[in-house]
Amino acid sequence: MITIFRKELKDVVRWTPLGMIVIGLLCWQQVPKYLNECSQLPTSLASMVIIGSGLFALVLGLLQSLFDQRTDSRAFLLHRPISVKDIYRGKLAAGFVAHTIAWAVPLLVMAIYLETKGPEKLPVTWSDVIPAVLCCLLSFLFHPAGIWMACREARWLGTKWMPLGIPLMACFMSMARISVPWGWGSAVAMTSIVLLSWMTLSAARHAFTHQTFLPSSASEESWSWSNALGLGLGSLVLVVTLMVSGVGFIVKPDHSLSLKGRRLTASADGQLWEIEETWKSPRGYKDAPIHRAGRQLSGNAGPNAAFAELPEIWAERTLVQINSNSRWNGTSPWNGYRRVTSSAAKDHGSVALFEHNQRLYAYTDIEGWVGTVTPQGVYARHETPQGAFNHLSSLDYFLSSTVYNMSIGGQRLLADSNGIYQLDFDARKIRRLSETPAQAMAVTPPSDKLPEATLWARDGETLHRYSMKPLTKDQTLPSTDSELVKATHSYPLANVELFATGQWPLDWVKESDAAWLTMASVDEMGVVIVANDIAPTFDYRIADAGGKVQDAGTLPDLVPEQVHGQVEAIASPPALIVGIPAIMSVVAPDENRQVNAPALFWLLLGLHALAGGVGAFVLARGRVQGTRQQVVWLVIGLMAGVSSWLAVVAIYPRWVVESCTACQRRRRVDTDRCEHCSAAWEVADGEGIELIGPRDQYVMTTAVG
Amino acid sequence: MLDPVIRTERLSRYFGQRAVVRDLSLKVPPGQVTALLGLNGAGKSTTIRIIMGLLRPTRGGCQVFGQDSAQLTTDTRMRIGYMVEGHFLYPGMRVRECAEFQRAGYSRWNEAMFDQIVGHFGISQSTHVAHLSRGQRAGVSLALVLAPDPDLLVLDDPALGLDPVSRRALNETLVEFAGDGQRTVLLSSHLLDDVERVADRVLLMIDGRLQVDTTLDDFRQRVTGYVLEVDTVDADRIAAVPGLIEARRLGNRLHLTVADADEETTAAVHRLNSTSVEIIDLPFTDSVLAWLSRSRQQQSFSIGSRRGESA
Repeated sequence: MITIFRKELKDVVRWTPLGMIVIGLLCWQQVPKYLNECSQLPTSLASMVIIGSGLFALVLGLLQSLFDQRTDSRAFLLHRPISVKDIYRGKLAAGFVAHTIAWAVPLLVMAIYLETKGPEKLPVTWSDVIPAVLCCLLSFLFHPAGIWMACREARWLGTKWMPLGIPLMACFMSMARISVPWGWGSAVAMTSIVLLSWMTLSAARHAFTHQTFLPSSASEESWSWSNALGLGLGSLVLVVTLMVSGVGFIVKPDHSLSLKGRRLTASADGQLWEIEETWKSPRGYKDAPIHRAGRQLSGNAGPNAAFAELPEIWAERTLVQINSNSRWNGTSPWNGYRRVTSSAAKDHGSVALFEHNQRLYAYTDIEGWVGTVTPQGVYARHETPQGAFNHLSSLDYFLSSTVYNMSIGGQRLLADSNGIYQLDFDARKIRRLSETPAQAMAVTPPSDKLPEATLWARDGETLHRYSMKPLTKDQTLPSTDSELVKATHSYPLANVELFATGQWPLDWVKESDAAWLTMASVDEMGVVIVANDIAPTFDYRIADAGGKVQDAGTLPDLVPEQVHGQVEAIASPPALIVGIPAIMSVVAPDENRQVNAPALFWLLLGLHALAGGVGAFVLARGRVQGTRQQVVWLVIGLMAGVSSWLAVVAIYPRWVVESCTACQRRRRVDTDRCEHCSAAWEVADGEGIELIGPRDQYVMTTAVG
Repeated sequence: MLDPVIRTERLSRYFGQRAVVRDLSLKVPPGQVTALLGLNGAGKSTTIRIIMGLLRPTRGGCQVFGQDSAQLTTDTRMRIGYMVEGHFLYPGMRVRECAEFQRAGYSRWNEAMFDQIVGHFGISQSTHVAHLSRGQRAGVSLALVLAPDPDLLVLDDPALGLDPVSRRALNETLVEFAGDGQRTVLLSSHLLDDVERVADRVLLMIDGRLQVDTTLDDFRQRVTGYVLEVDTVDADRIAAVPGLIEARRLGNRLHLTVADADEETTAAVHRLNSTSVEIIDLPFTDSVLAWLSRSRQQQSFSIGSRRGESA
């Protein structure tokens, strides 16, 4: 194998400068110059280099296999006392080394550059390239996919390219993986990556060691599970993507007409409502007249009440949302420096705050690193900071009204497992406002209708509410209805102090819903709490200031019927549409996950399944052996829909057939006996001029044509 | 009887709907040089590729040294020297590097033989393959396949594109290699003179089927040539000559080539209204060409090219 490795490496290493240049240019594009480019650097760098390294891996794979598809070079390579598997391994290893050199050099340069820039100039570190390294490693899958593609017998203008779908999916999964913290979704992504990698490597090996010898369809050599699974999955993704995109293109929603939207809210008298708002002109046109209708959900009304005009005296309370996931603030868990927030600073305009090693590092675009924040204080760059946060979270945005999203300017609120803090960067001070731990917070700023400013904080299974007051008399908390706030969409938070005004248990909230809490203060300072209102079913509680529950209930998903989405769903695999709710009903039987759709939807979905099943069965007739396998494809077709057609064509080559001399029916040429009448192949009549064997020496015993 | 080195049993290979090799059953005996002849597209290279385990048969079987050719072990491959059509070598390598690359895995490697053959073709080992002439590439290829001292040598059109000197060097090397009667050679070639010089047996493939499989001497004995003086030609009568391979008209002379001629053949020839009939000794090349021409004419568009009629 080492000889093959050396020879292959010598062949492909000459291409590595090309790969280095491509990947290097992509890295250069991602070199951060400003602070706002630093927070997403690990993911943006990874998403760029994975394109270049994937393409380069594919080029290497094709270079190493297409040339050897020529009869002479292939014969020269394969006829030697080295097993075909070792030759394949040698090629793969050489490709891997060449590929690794091509991405490792630019990423190493990038890592050195980042390390020289950080932390003084920019909040970056060499470890920001780690996601890119992982993605580049994974993108090598395009190399075996190239071999798989080249060695597979298929038309270039047909299914030849289908193997590329598998590494493509793996790379998408890797991007998803590095963008989310460890958890359930990440475990699914990791498992998928492992399976897709196995599929690619195994199918490529099979293609090189078996398919490239062009075995007959009847031969066991022509079959490989990884090849079949890979091509089947590729077909599914390709056809579903094309069909859903096609349907989405054809059935476009008309944005020029009136639009409807629904949202959840609370009335001032402490009831849960759903409001339907209708815009009479395109969305986004701020002066467009909005028509509002509503229906009460809590109490005895229920979710089936009809929408009606809202009474004139009806008043709304702002719902705010606590989102524990916002701790991640949309950035990758791989970030060395994770931007969490920014804070007002007179000297600098504002400073961007990046979390690193449980401390906050303050940066400006011009001066770079200007200070470090810990619960113990705010330190200048040259000072040695003391202390550290513990599970820090910050507050950047809150829903100040039902229409506008607003960011918090002014003095930043922070929370960790030791309490709630406020940072005054100008004064180089951080104050602890509460010693109650908080995993997440939200603020209801004062408005004309509810002048009380409220801070909500979740501590495990308890929801705390605080009243916020300015710390000094010369400071104020303006109304969100003020022109300044409306114009800037930024709330200038002054230094405040907190006064506890109530707490409510959250033990009724399911663990999976705890990250999404929506709440509002209502009359007599009671509270309406809704847990994860985007779930298929969600719970709510209405309690008074003393914590006594006034009303509680469970409501179904209130998202209005999405006809557009349903049409697209018809193009999806029928088993997916029917199966996922069925599986979830077993996994989570307490949640109502029924698909609410009209009868026409089910009819069309049924027709899709039927077309898939019948089509796959018919196509399989000339390609798979035996009724049993055809029935298997009928079932697969029923479940996967029309994507199974492409899968059958991609996986099984069409049989070559000739007329049977015994039964006159079309029989396969690659089997010894006719599948219809079991007749063997007849020996063709000679022409009377054959000279077979010396009459007296070497007598042939077999018949010849 | 010694076991054949190569044995195929009703071997067939299709490419799409076309059967390139059909029901091919042959045995290559040990210790002899067997020539595989046929026109381009007759299925020779396909057969060799199947024998070498580089292509799977559509149906039928093929064994080399008693082993299924699709499952040749590395030990068996070590016993086979295979010279690829076109004398393929990696253009980026030097001759010395070719030898280093080729010898990997072989338990035997005769360095002296390699040097001798390469020297015979006047090649420096430091020369880049890309700078070699076709004849020199053939010399390096031959040296590479002979240096491991194989028991079976398979040569796919080794003299393709070679000048006469290189051809002679190739033939001499082959004769020397197979001269001890211990090694087996399967040689595919279009150069009938060379084949006549080095081969013990001849296999002739026409349109994927085996037409001739015998020793060279037997082949010569069993093919007979007739020269007839004729004024007119009756195509039906010519076609009725038993064992007729080919009929060619040159002026008023009709040349017939017949396989396994007997009394019935002679009688049929005499019924052709000729003024004279002469039996001639056919050279080997003319006998083979008779088969090949017959095949070519069957594929032509000529209206008069019915079976056996080329006059």
